[in-house]
Amino acid sequence: MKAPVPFGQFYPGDSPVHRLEPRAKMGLVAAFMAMLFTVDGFAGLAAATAVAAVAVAVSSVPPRLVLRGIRAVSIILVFTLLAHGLRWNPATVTLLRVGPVALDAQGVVTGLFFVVRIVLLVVGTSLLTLTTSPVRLADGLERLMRPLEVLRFPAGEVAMMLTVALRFIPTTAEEAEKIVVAQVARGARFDTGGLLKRARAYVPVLVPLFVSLFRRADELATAMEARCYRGGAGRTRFTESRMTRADRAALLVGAAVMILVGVVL
Amino acid sequence: MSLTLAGVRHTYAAGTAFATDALAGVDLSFEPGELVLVLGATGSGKSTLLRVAAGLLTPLSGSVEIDGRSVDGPLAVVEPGVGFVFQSPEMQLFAETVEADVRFGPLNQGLTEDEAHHRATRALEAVGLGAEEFGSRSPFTLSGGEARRAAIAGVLAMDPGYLLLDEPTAGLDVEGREAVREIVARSRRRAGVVVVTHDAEEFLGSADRVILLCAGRVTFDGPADELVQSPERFAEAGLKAPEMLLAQMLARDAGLKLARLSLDPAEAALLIARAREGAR
Repeated sequence: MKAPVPFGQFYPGDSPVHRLEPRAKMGLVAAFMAMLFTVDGFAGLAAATAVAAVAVAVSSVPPRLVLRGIRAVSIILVFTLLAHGLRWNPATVTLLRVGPVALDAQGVVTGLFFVVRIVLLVVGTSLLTLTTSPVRLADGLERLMRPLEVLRFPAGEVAMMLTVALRFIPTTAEEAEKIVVAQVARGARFDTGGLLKRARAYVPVLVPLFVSLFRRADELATAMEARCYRGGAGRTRFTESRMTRADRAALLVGAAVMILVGVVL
Repeated sequence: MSLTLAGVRHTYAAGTAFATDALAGVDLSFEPGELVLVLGATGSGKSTLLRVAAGLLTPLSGSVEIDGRSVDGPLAVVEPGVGFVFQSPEMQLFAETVEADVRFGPLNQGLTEDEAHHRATRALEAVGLGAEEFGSRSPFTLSGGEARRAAIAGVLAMDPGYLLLDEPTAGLDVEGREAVREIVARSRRRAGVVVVTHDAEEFLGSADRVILLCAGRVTFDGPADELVQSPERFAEAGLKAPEMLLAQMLARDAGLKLARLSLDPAEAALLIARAREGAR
């Protein structure tokens, strides 16, 4: 009934991927994305798949957890494949034809290319959140945004919002699950009827969930103010995340190799 | 006629790094009309036991039978139903009015609007919230104790044959706790009642039977008085014995030969006085 690790949630571990400094990890994921968007053939995608497979293997995160995110984008994947593969009344030879609608072989191949690209994007970003605790992730983002403070960008506040939001994802999911079970115990059904009926069935879950979230947000804000939180200005961190020589080397070498592969293949 | 759990084992997130054993082979049976108290420390498997008994959680192994029938899925909508009052049940309130919220369960059981309204009115009266005064109010304007009672009414309105309550008095003030205790006492006339708590003081005096859970196993299952006479069992299950029993245990340790132990302060005082007379 309860998912042990929801999609994207941190999976604790002590692998080299876990230990990598969050900014280095975010840089590598950005380079991985750049590679995915610059390759223009299946050879490039194969190289990207190999990079992703090695990263997952080194991270010790069970592959099924990394792949769980694909379920969330499954509709997009099917749409992408069909959008490229389906043709209306084509003149050329096709893979399959039902009346005026035909499945084009070249279109399917192109569709597959984009599907693999999306899958690898999901794998890359999932691995980032699965191997980086929310606090370290927010810390990394804050450090990345810090230069923008000269432009009066509230980096500290944004980082605090991110930290709090990320911290409450599992709590909110747990609360939602409790309310769902409580309503099921009162005979509610969420798996029957059409789309509208199913959407309506969630009203008894969403109303108490939002009431609880607003109450929690109010209490948290008061508690933070009671502990003298006055915004991000001048705040320091008890543990500052620092890039080591190994982090820098991993970022530079990894990003260079991935961008090079992206340009060549 | 009983709600029976046989060989129930359950592990959360089995096969992952997060695996947590909750129940390690539990055989239990609950009869209509009895008030059973399930006591256990935090993490002993109490809440999991209730979820399995209500058909809201499918155990990894073992079975749940209601009146000899094996049922898959929530037991709220079968006959006789199993009602479940969750810990902090007020979080399930969602409708515009208290009456509409209490009607939610009966309507899900397939009752007509009129029947559901009748059930809701009766359930609200049963928990001491007059339907006229409270029925048209928003559930979000109720006090903590009133909201708890309204949520319990939402379950009672389904007319369950078995009523399961998870820490029903947690977080309530003295008045609220007393109100919930009265609801439980009244409910046992119509249903088999199972109350799960880690606070032995609350229901021990009124329970017919007590079950002690420790690390997912039943370490005691017997009449409440049998447990009262051997209070060391509380500590074995990671629980604190009621203050009244602790005081009498201290008297025993001091050399007084008490004929028996009692939860009733007047009887306990009498037993201590007699023991002191006997010692002279």
